Amino acid sequence: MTPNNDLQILSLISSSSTRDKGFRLLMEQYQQRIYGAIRKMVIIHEDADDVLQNTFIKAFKHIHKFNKQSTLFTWLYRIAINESLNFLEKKKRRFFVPLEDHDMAMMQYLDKSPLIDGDAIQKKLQKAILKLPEKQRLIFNMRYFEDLPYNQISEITETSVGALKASYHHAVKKIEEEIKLE
Amino acid sequence: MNQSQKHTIFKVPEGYFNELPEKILRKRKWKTRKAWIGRVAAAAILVIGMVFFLGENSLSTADYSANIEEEMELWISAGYWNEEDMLLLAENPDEILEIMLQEAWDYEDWYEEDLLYHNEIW
Repeated sequence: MTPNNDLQILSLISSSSTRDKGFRLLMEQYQQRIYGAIRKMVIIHEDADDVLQNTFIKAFKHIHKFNKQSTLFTWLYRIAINESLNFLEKKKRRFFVPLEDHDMAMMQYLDKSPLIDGDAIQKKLQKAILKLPEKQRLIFNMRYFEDLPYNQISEITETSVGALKASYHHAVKKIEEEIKLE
Repeated sequence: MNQSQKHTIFKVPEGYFNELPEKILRKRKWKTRKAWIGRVAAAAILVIGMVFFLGENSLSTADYSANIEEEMELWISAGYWNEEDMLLLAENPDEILEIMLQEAWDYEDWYEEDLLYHNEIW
């Protein structure tokens, strides 16, 4: 079901005279939540900024294909996930630099960047999360930090609720073990 | 893991979200413009190539097109030419302009495959 403010945004976008206003409203409505999801995946603000911009530009381009079977948030979130995973995949392949180098860069960012505000325990948790496989990390973030219900995560990722629950519990176990080890 | 760890540790520069919508709209317009320069340049190259081909059969169209394309790219990247200049070089500028205006919204579908909506995430 599409919420009323989504319908208002879509109505503005459908007319060429109000399209920019509609896009602006769409971004104002969802930018912070979508940014949060992307940032937790790519960690570095500048990377999250790039991925977020590409997410919205792709959304604008394909908005006419939005079928209103889900909310705009779910649809945008799906694009953001794809963009984030593609971004991380590109980092793996870039100039034959091993993935570990980028992982290391993200770990160091957690320790050194002024755009990180957590205490030692929170940073330790983030570092443990970074050691999970990307898709498990994604599911963990959606469930733990964003409190998204399993059925919404299922809609976004097109994965069964059972598989999501198993993945989440496995991730929690691995994170707890990782934290104990340090 | 407790509730206090759920608090986000990720900060953004001050005013980041206030400026973002305008920044993205500007980027989208710039991308539209860039795509159209490419399209008009391709049309102009074709027209100029044809003129040369008809004028001199001793050299191939491909050679001329490659040279002209390279030269045009230099002019565009140096900022001396824009899409209006490209239109002036085209044989049918009015038609191209009309298409540009009508199709501005869906411009990118012309050259980019739509993979996102047909592929699974996993």
